[in-house]
Amino acid sequence: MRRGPFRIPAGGTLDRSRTVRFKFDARPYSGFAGDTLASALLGNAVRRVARSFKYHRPRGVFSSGIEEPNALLQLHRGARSIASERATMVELKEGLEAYPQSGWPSVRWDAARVFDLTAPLWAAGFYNKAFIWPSWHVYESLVRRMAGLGRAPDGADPDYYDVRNLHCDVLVVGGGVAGISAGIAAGGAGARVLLVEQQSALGGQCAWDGAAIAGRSALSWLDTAVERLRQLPDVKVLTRTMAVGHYDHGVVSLVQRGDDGAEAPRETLYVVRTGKLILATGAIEQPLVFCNNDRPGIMLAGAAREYVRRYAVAPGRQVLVATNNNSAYATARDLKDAGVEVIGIADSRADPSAELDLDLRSLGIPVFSGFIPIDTAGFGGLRAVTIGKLSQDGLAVASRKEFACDALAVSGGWNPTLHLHSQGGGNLVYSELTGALEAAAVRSTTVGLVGSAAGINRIDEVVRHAGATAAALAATTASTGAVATGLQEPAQKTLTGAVASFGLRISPVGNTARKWVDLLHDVTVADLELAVRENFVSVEHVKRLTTAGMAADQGKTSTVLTLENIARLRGLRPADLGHTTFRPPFTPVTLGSIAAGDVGEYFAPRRHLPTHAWHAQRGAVFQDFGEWLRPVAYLRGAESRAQAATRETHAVRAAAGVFDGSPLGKIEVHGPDALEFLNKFYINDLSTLKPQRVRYVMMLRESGAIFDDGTVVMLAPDHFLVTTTSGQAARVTEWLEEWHQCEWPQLNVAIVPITDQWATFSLTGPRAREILATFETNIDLSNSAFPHSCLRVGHLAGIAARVYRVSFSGELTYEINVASTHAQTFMDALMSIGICPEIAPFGLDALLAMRLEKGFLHIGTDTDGTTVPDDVGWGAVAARKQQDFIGRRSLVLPENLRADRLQMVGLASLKDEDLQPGSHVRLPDSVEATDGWVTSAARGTLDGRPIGLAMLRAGRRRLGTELSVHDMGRVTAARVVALPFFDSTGARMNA
Amino acid sequence: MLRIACPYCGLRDEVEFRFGGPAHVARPGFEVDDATWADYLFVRENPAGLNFERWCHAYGCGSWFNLVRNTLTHEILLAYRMDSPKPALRT
Amino acid sequence: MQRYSFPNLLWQALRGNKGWRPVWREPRLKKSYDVVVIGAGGHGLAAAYYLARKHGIRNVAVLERGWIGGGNSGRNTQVTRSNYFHPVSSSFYDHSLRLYEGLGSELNFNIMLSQRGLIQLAHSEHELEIIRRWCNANRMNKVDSEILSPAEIKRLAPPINLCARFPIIGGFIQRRAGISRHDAVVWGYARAASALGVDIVQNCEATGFEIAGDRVRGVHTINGSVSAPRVLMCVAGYSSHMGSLAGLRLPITTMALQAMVTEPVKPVLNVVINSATVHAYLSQSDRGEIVIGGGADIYNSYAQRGGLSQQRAVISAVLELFPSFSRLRLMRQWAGRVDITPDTSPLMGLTPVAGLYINCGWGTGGYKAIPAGGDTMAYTVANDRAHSLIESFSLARFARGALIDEGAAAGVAH
Repeated sequence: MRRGPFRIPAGGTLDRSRTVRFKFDARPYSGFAGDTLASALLGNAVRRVARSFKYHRPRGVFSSGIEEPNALLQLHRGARSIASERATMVELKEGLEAYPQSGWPSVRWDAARVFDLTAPLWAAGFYNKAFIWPSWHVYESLVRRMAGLGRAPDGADPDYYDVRNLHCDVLVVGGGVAGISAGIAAGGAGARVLLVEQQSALGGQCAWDGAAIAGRSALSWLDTAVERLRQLPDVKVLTRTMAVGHYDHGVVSLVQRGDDGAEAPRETLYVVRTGKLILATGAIEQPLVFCNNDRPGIMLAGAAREYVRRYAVAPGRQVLVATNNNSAYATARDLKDAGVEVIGIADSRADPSAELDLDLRSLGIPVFSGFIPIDTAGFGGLRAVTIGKLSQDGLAVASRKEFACDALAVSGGWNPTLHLHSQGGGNLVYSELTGALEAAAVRSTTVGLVGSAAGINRIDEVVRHAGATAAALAATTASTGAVATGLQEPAQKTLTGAVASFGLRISPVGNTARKWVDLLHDVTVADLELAVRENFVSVEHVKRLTTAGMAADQGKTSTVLTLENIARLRGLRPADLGHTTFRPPFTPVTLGSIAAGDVGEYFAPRRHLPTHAWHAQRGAVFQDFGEWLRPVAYLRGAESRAQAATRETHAVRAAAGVFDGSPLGKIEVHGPDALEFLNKFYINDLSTLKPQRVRYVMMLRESGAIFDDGTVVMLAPDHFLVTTTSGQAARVTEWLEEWHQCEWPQLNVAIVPITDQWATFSLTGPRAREILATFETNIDLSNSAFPHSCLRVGHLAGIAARVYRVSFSGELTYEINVASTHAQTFMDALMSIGICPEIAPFGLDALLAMRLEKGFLHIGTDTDGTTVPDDVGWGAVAARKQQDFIGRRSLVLPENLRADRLQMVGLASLKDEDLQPGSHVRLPDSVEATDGWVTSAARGTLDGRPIGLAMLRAGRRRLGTELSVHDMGRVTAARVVALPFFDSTGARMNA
Repeated sequence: MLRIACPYCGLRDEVEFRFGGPAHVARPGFEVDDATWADYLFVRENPAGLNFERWCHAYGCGSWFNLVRNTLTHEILLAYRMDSPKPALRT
Repeated sequence: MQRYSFPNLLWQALRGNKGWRPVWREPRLKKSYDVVVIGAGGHGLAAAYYLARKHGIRNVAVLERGWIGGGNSGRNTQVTRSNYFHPVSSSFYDHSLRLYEGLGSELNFNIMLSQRGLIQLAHSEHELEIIRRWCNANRMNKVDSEILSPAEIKRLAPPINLCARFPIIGGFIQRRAGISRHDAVVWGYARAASALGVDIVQNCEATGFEIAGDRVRGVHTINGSVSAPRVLMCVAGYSSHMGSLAGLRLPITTMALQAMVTEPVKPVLNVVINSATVHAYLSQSDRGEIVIGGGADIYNSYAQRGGLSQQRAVISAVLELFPSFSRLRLMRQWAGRVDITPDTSPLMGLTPVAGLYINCGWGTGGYKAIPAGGDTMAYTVANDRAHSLIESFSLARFARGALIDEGAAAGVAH
């Protein structure tokens, strides 16, 4: 195992006593506890970690943070694999396996480099201009295989994710000096504070950059500050937590990485509702643009500094620093102090000494003022850099110098990280002073910016400003108080992290096709030129044509440079180009962390019948009906489902069976105006309702389409029972409430849904009365005392019951409602009656077959969202009603009065073949593509004939007509027959 | 994600509510012509700006109420009970 | 118009790509045109193209308040299909799909039409019956459609989970359906129309109409007024507003429709999958991104952003279907402004104002309709008479109660 020559022997915040072994590209390496994957790779002198997206050029680690555009690696294999993991964000763990995502045969030697050699062919938009002939299909497979970075895992995610909800007064995003200061101030002002930090510990940069705060070491300040946070009564700190989305009304989403314990969720989504938001999110360094600015060994200067100070890793043996601002000088000094050879600092500003507050000579590093990198060399990695002296106007290069070096640390200025601000509606404006997109006037007075996100970099000022901002924010109510963002800060002269002024950051010379702007999508300045040349001039068009800024790094190190280039090409100022708006997520987050556990059994709840176990014991085959799990048939022995349904139907027709109808919607409507209220909903005139007489009713939407059917029965003038179909139970309840509360609040009614409180059992068959009569009951069950379409309230075997005589099966039926808590007791009582062969439970298959034979309407099967009452034979009832009801007016719209509407009819197959629901039918003289469809089908229970119901164009006029029936290219025939198929007098039901 | 102040329960998350279309729409009587009836059923003001709309706290207290909300910014100006008259807002 | 072809690509590359010319002209707005189209999205640009190409009407301006294709045309999930239930819808959308099939060649622009199929899933026996009715409806209308078993679905989409909370028990496929590239369709139509003489004017917001005596005379814009005897309005997301400027009262509710893409990965999904039960659909673009969509956020919105709760619901649905996608990352999400009509069918054709034509109300399904929308509206404008394929989509259908309700027919509760 190699340690690598770039590991600095001393320094850093690593725990060198703990070695961590890992693999990259199947080779073993080691690092230390505290390394990231990126720092460990650099420490092992691994320079080529990827090949670029289009041209397959070698790439190395470019940054030390979330903005990393090159080192996107595949971690692990199998179901736990992760694509495009940023090596800079991965905490090194024992046994980690990382793989490059591109390069064949290897990342160090890629045959596809040929695309680099033929680069002009693959300029922006090339795929629009070719692959047309003969068709895109010919080329598509190959292109799809070349696209994509990394692979999706090959199995279901074995880890789990969770969601937590939090409320706070102040959410502070960022746990560096600024964030901690803000948290202390807000917490000290009595606010409930949530402070989130994406790294595993608080401190941010001050944990390693050796700064001094208020006269003492940053580490000492940090210890005190963290302790202060801990002592505050209502401050909660979450580490390993990144804020990713800022939504309406103060909702912010966070994703927390779990510790790698087996029991913990891999990631946790926190949905935070906050009153105020403070962004201490820092700034992201931007690169310089020059020819061949993408080679391995070129990295951001701030990252180089972090690698040296924090990870004790040198970016190379001979390092050149190139900058347009002050901040890179600290990098040069720290590299030199660590023993790395620093060749010099190329500063594109003509006279940087005026900006710095130190004597350049004391640095001991040569400074090349007015110089900018203009080219680099090194086919497999950086070997040499050429810098050029800028002319007075910055448009040309007067003289050049070339240096052999293997690392180039670049700084093109810092861009405050304001994504969350923008997501929340805050405008960003390009600043000519700093070359950054900064916050314009804060849109909402509930967002504060502190630290370098606010453009404040002097550390003591950061502490003061963050504290003042947070205290002010915590104290204000939501509607008052503007918040300082630091935009009025005067130019600062400081060494560390300051951007007092900035010079040129784009080299004026050289082939623009070799100047990279977006590293991840391989977009060059030439691509931007081509876009503008072709009249894709708006920023959005440029982005879409070139794909600049649309890669997984979301343009974090390319957006401002893209804007500057477009502006330059169009002869405009960047500020004239319009708004840049960011949308969530701030950085890509896993789908798992968004779903956050709402998968599998948690995706949708299941509803079980009150006697579910009883059904299961009897061989019930359950199916999903909405959320309900309901038996379709009960299997005995080696029966098929169809055989079971046939057996059940015969058993019911011959003797008796019991059906569990508990999901049936049940609603009580109370109040003196209950009748008037209910009468507004149904096509039936309820004013003629007699007590305890059950009326079959139909309800419409205001468009006239059938919404639901069911029953209404009056128990007392101010007490009604309503039933609905199982599927619409909740919706009908909501419907009644909506109209009551919004349209007719003057009606005195109370609507009480009781679907879950009552279980329903339909005792069905010719022997049903006989069986029921064996119960001890106070209900007179004789047909004269208790005829069909009646309700009786009483008790059965000591259990309070409401018993309906209604029938969906067409057989003598007692629909018995008992309290759900007594459902099993009742069922046991029913099953223990021994006067006839065991009362067979029957399922939906049998019930629906029986109801089909009777031609009874099944809402949702025979009807859809366009069916009106007349289509299914209920037009006369609706027309008779004098009072207004919902949907009444629509029934007389021209379309609903057409003679050729689809109407419900019965079908008898002319062959001995089952009719297939979903088949379409055609009339013999038809000119249309289709004249309707089969809505349901069954075999006749007693004669086994294949029958069905259908919606047929002008069906009621077509009795006796032969139709062709079409299903998936097979054609059969059926005849239109009268309904019902069975027991047309209803004798069995009325017995 | 919207946070909506139910007049009865206070500020709650969007998922607890169901949107109910425009508020203050008068339901015409049976005698109106087809065009007027279709207007009631289907036509919407659909403003880009302040919208008066109905909401139901479906997974809370079950109450219907009215909201004044800006459809461009999602800012909620006012929530008021269903039996309150339509407020006159200074725009 | 410079010819797009591989030899020309090579030739221009050798010249350093400096020889490529503007894809569409940047003309100054004239004072009058024969036809003004408001809205340079796919539908507007396609209409202008077909007016010039098929009807010889080239004195046309397409006015765009922002940048072309910046509305829903640039924000959709690129699904291209024609498996609609109603015969009138079926005919219209299949006309569109057939135009799509020849569009790359016709426009000489690679629109990357990928016809790998779209599968509509069924998660219950009831849904399977609805699917069968729908599939047969397609076949009766001569649109390709076939039922699939779960095993066949698994073969076409190996990472799919047949045993999710709502098990997949079947589905149907339209093999000619798939995806294409939305920006390419917009740019292709723009380039061809511009080459035929159509003026495409960006940053030119229309602020009102000149209407005299129930007839349109012209359009007012921020860059001056333009007279035109015929005006076509196709401004998804602004239809109510624009309509109100002409005195039209439209049955539209505008909502935000979210879409999202993951980071790109190597090919893992080669069909489009759509599930009405779990309310999500997804495909994999030719760039490797998994493209995801679902239902709209249900309330009026012009904000072009949706909420976290709806996003979570759609992604949970996607992971139900594809649990191995859980570790893929959401890279980008956005939203469009969709104009929802009461029956989710569009509003096309004449308006009560003579000379003013409308094409809007596409809701969540406008992208696949672009070629047919353009073609039929060009005919309609040229002849002052609705094309036969769009007669059923007239604004007047609502007063008759003649809704063309795809959702209702598909058994989907809304």
